[in-house]
Amino acid sequence: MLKLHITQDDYGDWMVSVENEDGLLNLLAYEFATSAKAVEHANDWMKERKVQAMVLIDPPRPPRATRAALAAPDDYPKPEPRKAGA
Amino acid sequence: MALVYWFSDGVGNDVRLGGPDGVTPVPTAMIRWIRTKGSPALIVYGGDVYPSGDARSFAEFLGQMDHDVRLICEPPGNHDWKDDPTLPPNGRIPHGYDTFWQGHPESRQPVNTNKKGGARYEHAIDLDGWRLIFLDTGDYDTNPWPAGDQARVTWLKNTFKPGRSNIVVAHHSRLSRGLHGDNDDLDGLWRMLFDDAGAPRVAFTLGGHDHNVSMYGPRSRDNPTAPSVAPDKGIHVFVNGAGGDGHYTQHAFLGLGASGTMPDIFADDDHFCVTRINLIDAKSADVDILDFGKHAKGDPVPVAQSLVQIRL
Repeated sequence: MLKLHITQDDYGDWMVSVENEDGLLNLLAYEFATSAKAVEHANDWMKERKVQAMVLIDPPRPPRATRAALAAPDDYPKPEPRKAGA
Repeated sequence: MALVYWFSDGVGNDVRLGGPDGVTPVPTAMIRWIRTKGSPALIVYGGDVYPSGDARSFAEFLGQMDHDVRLICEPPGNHDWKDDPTLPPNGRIPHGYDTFWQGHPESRQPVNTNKKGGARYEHAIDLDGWRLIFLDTGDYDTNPWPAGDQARVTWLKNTFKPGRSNIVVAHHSRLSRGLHGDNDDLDGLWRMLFDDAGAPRVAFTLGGHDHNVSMYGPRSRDNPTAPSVAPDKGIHVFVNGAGGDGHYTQHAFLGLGASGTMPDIFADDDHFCVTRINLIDAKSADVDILDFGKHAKGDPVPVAQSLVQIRL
């Protein structure tokens, strides 16, 4: 079964990664302000693609997103996909 | 000369924060720059007031626009259509959207209360020899345009200016690259943008929906997903849904990543962006992307490779 991983990147933003049956991981959507946003987009994706997936959500890290955003460089690469619980 | 700005898919609840202080909503940072440094004649918010276009979502939107919607119009997005009770005699409508814009007659977004459904929000604005035609594709998933209403087809046909100085604006785009991809159910609408001989009646289209930027060269009536054609044979397609609510990848992945036509002029799936349309005269317009980066911390950077010079 497909898995959708809802996780945070290094700067506290939320992202959605998909893991296929072979364990290959790909980044779908990213730079969301809240986990709820990422879940909403994950649900929209499953509905639109007509697929079922297990959704795994990391607990939020300590709320330092604002500090992280301020400290983040003006430009940084897109996050790499991540598994929840890793 | 008139400057028009487009941003989309980025207002309402839980949008990304940034700006100079790190806690300003990205769309607020964008609109403040547009107003203070952009000399706008018109600002198009391309649709989707998150999460569901209800009254609470629109209250958040108004705050994010600094309580000023005088220059703004909004073709409805799919999220606006999530607040869709059927209200006789108006038919099924995006209720929060309808209520909000009726309450702001100072804006550039009319609501024609004599019509039903999405036709209520369709209108045209003339600027410096160009006609911008705004359509409601927000109900795409349930009832793609024209949602069975032939009066909307007739209205569109009668609204085109002679020649090609027309711009069609809607939330969904015929071509797009991202988690949504091409909107094939708009093919009937796409074909209407050409005359019977296949000559374009429109210079370009503006859309959003996919949360990234895709800019396409002129595409033909019969095969828009094929490579670009000569400018007199096709219509440019500009997509920008990078307005403040995260990003969608443009990369394919074993059928599980992005879909849709790859853009041939410019693509970006990592920065927040505004589209700038410079209507120079009735036959000339420049379109480019203003890159607000990851956080909209300061002035945007015009993206040179995104510049398209429309010369009719």
